[in-house]
Amino acid sequence: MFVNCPFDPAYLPIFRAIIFAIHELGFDPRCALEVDDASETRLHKIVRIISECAYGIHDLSAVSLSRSTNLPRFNMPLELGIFLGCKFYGSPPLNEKICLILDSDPYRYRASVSDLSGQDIHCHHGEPAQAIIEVRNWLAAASRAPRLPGGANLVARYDAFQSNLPRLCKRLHRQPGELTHMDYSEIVERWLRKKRRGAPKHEHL
Amino acid sequence: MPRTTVKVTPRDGGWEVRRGSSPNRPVYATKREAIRAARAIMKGIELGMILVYAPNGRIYSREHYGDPPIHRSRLRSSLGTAAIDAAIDAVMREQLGGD
Repeated sequence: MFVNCPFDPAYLPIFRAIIFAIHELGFDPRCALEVDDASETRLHKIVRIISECAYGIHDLSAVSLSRSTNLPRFNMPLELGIFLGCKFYGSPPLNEKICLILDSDPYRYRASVSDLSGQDIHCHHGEPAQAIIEVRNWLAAASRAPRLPGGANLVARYDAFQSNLPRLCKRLHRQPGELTHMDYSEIVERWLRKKRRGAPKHEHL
Repeated sequence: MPRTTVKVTPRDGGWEVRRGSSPNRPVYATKREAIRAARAIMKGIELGMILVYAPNGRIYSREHYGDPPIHRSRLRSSLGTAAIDAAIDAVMREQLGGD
């Protein structure tokens, strides 16, 4: 599952909520942050990851004017364009890709990426819980995976994880805000596995 | 699809196994037996959860049934899987309040 979204601190709550939902729903989140390899350009890395992912989540909510440059950030639309290019011009399995396009408000994208008019854009309104629900509902329909947990259930588990995260970080000698994507992703994966298995004391049952 | 919840709770010196509002609530002498009985109920269930409660009323543990399997990512954190597991175990034990 390719995740195309901003990586700045302001967006971190939504990014982390989406990563949690992807793990919980049984998929593997991939994004440009996963490998720090100076021998591979960022664009090559993104193209490679896109080529390896059947699904993509693209969040356009950060496409807004930068205060410092007075220019919009085009990375997210560019990566969405590469993903759609695969779908339109690629041969199987590239042309079988399925994506979710997110934004903060309905129809906001029309002011900057009007070519997307007619696409089904989903809105998270800047709320992590809503982002989780949108990802879950889209994936339930797109993947046809049986028995996916409901949106409210997912949000409740995410809240439980969030309440654990500061204590987990303390034991790992990290601050929650300084976890790398790889750190966060593996902590989520391991936490979910252990929650499904039950508490550690169960081992002696 | 409805999610079935089976609760294992302390009762009268034993451990009660309760499925929804069913009047059939057997009580077992030990928690181990009660959890075995709860797991046996879950064998016929597609989607559900066992909740085991501590004597103080807090949830002691959960077991989920029928959720999609967690995908094992090929990418690992530099923190180390063992260290992450140890931290999670410790936090779970803290939550149980040492019971």
